[in-house]
Amino acid sequence: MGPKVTRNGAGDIELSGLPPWIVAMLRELTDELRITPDSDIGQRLFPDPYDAEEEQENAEWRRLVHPDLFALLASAREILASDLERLEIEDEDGELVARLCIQASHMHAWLHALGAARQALAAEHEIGAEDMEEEELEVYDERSAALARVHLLGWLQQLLVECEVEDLE
Amino acid sequence: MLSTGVLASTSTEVEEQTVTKGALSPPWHVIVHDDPITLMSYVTLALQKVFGYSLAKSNELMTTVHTSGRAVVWTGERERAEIYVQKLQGWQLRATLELAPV
Repeated sequence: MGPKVTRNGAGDIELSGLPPWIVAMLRELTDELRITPDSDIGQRLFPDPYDAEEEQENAEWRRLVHPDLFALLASAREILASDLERLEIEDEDGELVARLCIQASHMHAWLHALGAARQALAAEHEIGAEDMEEEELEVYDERSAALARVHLLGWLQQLLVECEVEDLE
Repeated sequence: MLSTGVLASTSTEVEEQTVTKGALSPPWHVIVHDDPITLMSYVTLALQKVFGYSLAKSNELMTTVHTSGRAVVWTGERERAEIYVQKLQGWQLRATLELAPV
């Protein structure tokens, strides 16, 4: 039996039946999301909004806007870390599985963090469009493991997107 | 009773006085660029949340991003365009600004 997703009346999400390897992958996110403005990943996440020729405008943007963008990312990371600390491990038919609760008010932070993590993995391992379209995935080295993680985090992100879309309807 | 001529003159004066500040500054495009990692459903959701667009319009814009590599998602005065770009980047969308052609 695979992971199960339920929602309560308040819009909180509960992911149950999570195998240990998914839990381990999620826990690694908190370290991977320590992204600084001067890093390549930081620049990829929050690119300059004006043409490269507009150096002054871009410099002003980085001075005025980047602190807020990186603070938003740091806040999302802290919420993720806090929710993962409250993860419960239980025995399901002799197998250890985890239960993760994401409050409705934390949804955007999770979406933000998952999106940033996927971008960070893709940047670090040079994962592009062709890689994302591969239908058969074999995990045999660090790069293919990273691609698998991008897809798995995308699966979780898609679940949360569907919950948000439900709320908008 | 006022004559039509006076009414016409009065309404013309009112129209001339209502030239807005926005009409004097050139408009800017907010552009969202495609990237192979971001989920299409996520792009659609981000557009709904940031701009308040309908699902149909957001989907249409997302499809344009995906098929054409980029889409103009909003056009208007510069300061507001910058705020939108900041919000879209907060959703990890690759958003930039371009001066709209006159």
